[in-house]
Amino acid sequence: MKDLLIVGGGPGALSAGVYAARRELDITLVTKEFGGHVAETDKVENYLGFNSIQGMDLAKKFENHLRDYDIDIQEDIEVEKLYQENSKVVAELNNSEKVEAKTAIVASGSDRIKLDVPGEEKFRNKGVTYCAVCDGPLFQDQNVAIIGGSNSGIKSALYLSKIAKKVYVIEVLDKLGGEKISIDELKQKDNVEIITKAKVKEIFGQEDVEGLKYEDENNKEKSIDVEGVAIEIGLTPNSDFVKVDKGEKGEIKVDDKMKTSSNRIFAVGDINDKGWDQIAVAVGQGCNAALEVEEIINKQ
Amino acid sequence: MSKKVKIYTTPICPNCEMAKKFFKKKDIEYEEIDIFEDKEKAKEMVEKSGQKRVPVIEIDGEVFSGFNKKEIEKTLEK
Repeated sequence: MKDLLIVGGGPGALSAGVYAARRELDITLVTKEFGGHVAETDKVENYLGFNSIQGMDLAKKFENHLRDYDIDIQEDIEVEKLYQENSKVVAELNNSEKVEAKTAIVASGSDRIKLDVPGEEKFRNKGVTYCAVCDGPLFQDQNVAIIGGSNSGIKSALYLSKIAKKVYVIEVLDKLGGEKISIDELKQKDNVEIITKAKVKEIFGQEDVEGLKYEDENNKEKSIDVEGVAIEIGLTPNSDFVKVDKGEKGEIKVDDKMKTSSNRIFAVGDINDKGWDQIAVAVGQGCNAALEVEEIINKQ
Repeated sequence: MSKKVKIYTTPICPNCEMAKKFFKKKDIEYEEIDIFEDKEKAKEMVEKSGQKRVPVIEIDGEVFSGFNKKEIEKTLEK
């Protein structure tokens, strides 16, 4: 039986992996892919030691760091069920195999929340995207809208402002969220228009996206012509497969040590109910959980 | 006979990276087309796949939008 099973390939999982490997625990890491949302980010400028780095490059550095250690890595595999059975943790994989371990750290992150308006599903991949930086180059010299004015929406808008003709940032609240330094940078852009207190009602078009309708602060319906709509309204925990206590939105409940309701299962990063969804937070929580796991293993 | 593989990509695209890794692992040569660098190729990609999404993978003329490993494996076995 393995000492530790890690689920995920983002910063929380890889930080846990490095810490646990250096304590010489016997580890299996199962992940669908490496990178997490970091890899979908244009520039990361708030992670200590890197003034400005492409998200994909930072994700590769994390992965390469982990691969320096002798760890059993099962890539391209998904965990379908994970639960604690007496004093062991069992993971059922989508390749019909099972992994048994003394402990587990779940760091499988989160998925993008859908907007849930007419046209969103119809025009998915026909102008509607959930990865603005991936599909952004398809909207060169076109008009695009970013739905959501928090940190990730602002980062995507900054990236698209270099490519697109015009970028609308549509936020339902009365102001943008996230880092002031990025908001200020965005406001300097000539081809960016920020629309606050606006609720998107519909995405329309014929074959592809041609525009969207929103309700403004005076409850008046307005329309803008855009060829692309990037949805960045937040994240939802990817936690369905884990049998532990969760909150209403699926966030895994953890204590200060990142321990879940099952005493051998830990959860770190975007998937739990503690802290902000940030790279630095996930890395710290991964470290914390790995050191807690070592205590459990050493006590046996 | 070896198959002719083209992958349309963008510079920041985790799924494009996964697709490239997949073909490298199988030791299958591919031509990478970065649509950020070439607008005409971007148009070509959208026309071929009917979608605005990367990656697009073409194997001997058969076009796939996104990276679905099982689908690609099946096609390679043909």
